Amino acid sequence: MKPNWISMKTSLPVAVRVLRVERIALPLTIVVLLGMATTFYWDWSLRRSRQLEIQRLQRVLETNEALVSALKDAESAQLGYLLTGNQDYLGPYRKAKAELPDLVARLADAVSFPDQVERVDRLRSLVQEELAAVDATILVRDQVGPDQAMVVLRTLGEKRIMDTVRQVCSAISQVANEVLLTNSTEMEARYLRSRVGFLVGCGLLVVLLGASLALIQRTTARREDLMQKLDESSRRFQVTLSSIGDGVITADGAGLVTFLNPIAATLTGWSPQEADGHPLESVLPLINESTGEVIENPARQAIRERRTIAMANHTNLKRRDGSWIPVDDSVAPIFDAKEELKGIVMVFRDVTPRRAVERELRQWHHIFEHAGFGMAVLTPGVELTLKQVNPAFASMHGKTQEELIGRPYSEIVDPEVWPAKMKLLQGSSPTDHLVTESIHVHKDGSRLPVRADFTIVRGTDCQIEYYLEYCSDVSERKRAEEELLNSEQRYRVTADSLPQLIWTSKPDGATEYLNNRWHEEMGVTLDQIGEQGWISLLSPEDRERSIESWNNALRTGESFQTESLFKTRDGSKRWYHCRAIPVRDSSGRIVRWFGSCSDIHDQKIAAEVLRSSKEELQLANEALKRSNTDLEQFAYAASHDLQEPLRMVAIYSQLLKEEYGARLDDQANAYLGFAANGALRMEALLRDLLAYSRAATPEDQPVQDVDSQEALTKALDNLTVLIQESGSEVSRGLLPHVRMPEVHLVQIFQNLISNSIKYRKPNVPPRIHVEASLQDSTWVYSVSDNGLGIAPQHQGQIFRIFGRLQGQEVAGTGLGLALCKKLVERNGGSIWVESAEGEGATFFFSAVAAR
Amino acid sequence: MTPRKLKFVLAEDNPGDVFLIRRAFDLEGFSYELLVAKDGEEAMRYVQEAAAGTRVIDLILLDLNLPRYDGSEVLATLRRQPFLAAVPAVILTSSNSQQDRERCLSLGANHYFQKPSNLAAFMEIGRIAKELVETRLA
Repeated sequence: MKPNWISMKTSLPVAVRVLRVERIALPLTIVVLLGMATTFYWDWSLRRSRQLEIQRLQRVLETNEALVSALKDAESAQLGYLLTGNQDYLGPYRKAKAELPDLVARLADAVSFPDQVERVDRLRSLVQEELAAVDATILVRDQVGPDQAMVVLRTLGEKRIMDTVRQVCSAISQVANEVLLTNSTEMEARYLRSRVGFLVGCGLLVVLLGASLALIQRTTARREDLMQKLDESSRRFQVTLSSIGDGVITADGAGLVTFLNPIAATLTGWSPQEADGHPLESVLPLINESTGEVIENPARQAIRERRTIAMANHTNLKRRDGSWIPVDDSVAPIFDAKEELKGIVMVFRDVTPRRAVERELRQWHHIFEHAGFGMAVLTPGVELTLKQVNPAFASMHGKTQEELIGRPYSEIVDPEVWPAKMKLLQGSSPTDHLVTESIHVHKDGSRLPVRADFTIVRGTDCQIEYYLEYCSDVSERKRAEEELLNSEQRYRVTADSLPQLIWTSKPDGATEYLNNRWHEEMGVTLDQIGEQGWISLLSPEDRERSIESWNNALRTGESFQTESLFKTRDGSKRWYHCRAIPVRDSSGRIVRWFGSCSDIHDQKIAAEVLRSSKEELQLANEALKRSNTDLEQFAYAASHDLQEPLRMVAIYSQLLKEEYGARLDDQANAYLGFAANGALRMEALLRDLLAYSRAATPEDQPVQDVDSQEALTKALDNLTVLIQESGSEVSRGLLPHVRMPEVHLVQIFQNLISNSIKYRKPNVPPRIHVEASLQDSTWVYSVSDNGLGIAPQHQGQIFRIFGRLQGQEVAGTGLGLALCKKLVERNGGSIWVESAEGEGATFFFSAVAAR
Repeated sequence: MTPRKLKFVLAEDNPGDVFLIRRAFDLEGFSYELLVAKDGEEAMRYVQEAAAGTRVIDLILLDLNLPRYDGSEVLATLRRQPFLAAVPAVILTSSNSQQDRERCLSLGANHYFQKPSNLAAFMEIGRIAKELVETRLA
């Protein structure tokens, strides 16, 4: 059988080229032939008209000659008769006389040029004239005599007429001869031209014929070559199709079988000869595997739709013997060069073995998918990669299969055990099977102790193709999870019983639980509001702030606390205090957020009210402060101005006593003493009051670093008299530089030391010690003495203004310690005392350390 | 040649203090003439006369707290005069303000005398005046 469906598309261009050259050569030949024929016809018709012309001219010449000779005959006959009177001479004359008009008429017929016609007309009249003259002479001879006749002859001028006739005739023949000569010369030239044209045309034809012949020969040769190649390739195809592993059937455009290869024959049970011309459906009946119904042969579809069709899966072939085999096929339409459907080729194969493998694969897949232990396929490469994992493996790690497949194996192995594990896997093992204890990492970051068995699968070249890992969870995770579940249930029952709104979130903030209170207060459940949870219930005006705070907590892992405005069940807005703390696992990772929200709306409103009253209080306070300041300024001015007159009283009492004391009696002197003493005390009081009020006035000392050693020395200088009189001893320890105006520090030291001296035990010399120690970047000074001490119940009042513990027996204004307190506090410190009655006292005050 | 009387100017509105100062100068044994100005304006006039060369001042004592012009203003005017820059000037005051003290000393006061309530202490002014005058004359 010869397959007739192979199109020789590759050879087509050559054939087309040959055809084109042939097409050009043939019309060219026809054009040349037509050209030649036209030329010859034109030439021939021209020659024919020239020949007719020549004939006419020759007739003119002949007639002209005949006319002249007839005239000569008539003339000679006339003369002969005239001379002899012999009647015999008249015969030729009469004959000529009869011929002449005819000859003239013939000549008139033959001429064509106008001047020739004119000449003939003249000739005609001349001939008549001549004939008339001859008749006249003959008549005269007959009737008069020969002599008279001769005379008449001469008078009539017959000779002149004859000469004119001769002249005219010779002119006619001369013109005719000239024309004849011209025509024959032209004829000669034309003949020469047409001969050359003929020769050239013939040459061209020969060339064209030669070229056409050569081309035709070449085309034929090529065609034969192509046919041979076609034959070869079709043979090759036949061999290929016969030896191909798949069944191949070809059919024509009507779906009738034209060819079967041996495999197709074996599969269908039809021999090629039997099948030839049968419809495809009967040779290759196809049946749906599951329904058993005959299905449309895809070849029909391919013919109809003019495209390649793959057969539906699960197709069975019903063989001639009635048995079924599963097949898999495809059909391709065949087109010829003109894109016309010539037939189809159908390739199909027996997929029985593949189906078996597929079935087996399905079984294994089932085992893989449903195994109770984890299974993973690892591929070696730059790094060990998870190529496939089963669901058990994925869930063991808290992830989905998609999250694991394609990831590096190192991601799920604890970094601490990873190096050892790699070493183990890379080491050669005689059995290619390893049993390991390892630690994997769960999605939540926790460690997952596993038993992991490895099987190394090698390719033909002994290279490792992949590893199979069987992995089982050996931790108590499950138990822990169950416990967690139990505790979670317990916790939820507890949470539901609480008055607060309770919620929990995943580490990423997604809400996972809301207690029942949410439904009661907000009218929502977790299902309704989803993962966004409580955030979706925030009132819009307060939303951004709360979300930002919550996101910040999620990011930093710090506990979260905010007051947020919620939209509650009845649509009203209420303030809630929300808190959330992260719950961490043993490794410190956050596993969940535990949050609560409490309704603080009423408190918050109350607090608002409180705050506004607090503000009022503050305003009142400021007013008080202002009036205090005013008072202090007043005190300053007053004490300053009061001093002047007091000084007068004091100094003039002294003067009075000095100058007049001797003249006064004792009582007057005592009175004077009381006045002077009172004035002095009043002055001291005013001085201290002035110092105290000045400590609060804006007119102040510049803050500076001061050396407290120097300040103490100055204070002691000021107190020289008092110290000497009392026999006091003042010792000093470490004394730093601190930050305060020097005069303040001097004054503090001075007041505290003079205080210690004033409140000394009777008959005990005062021992005073001053030092400082650093406590939290603040210097704390201590001034301790061995004096009377202060009972605890009085310690509170000593720093108050005029808060004296002793009567007038101890000199003092009651302002010293109050002033110290004020100065210490002005400089950012505090002052206190530690003492027991009779045990001495230690005054402490703090000061900011120097820069 | 008997020493000429020293010409003292005292600007003080408190007669008690004027008396005490006279007493102090007397105790010191000065031969002096004391011109008392009862307010700042009068003191200012004496200073201008001295600047014009129609008055001699050997020592000027200025109470700080005076009506019209206070003592420090008079002192400042005095120190601005070309020929009076070296005239000894004592500021008298009952204020113990550190700022006042520094201000007056920087204006050119030779002494800042805080008037005490003790008689003996007050009499110190005589000694101070004597020291200043003698230093000047020397």
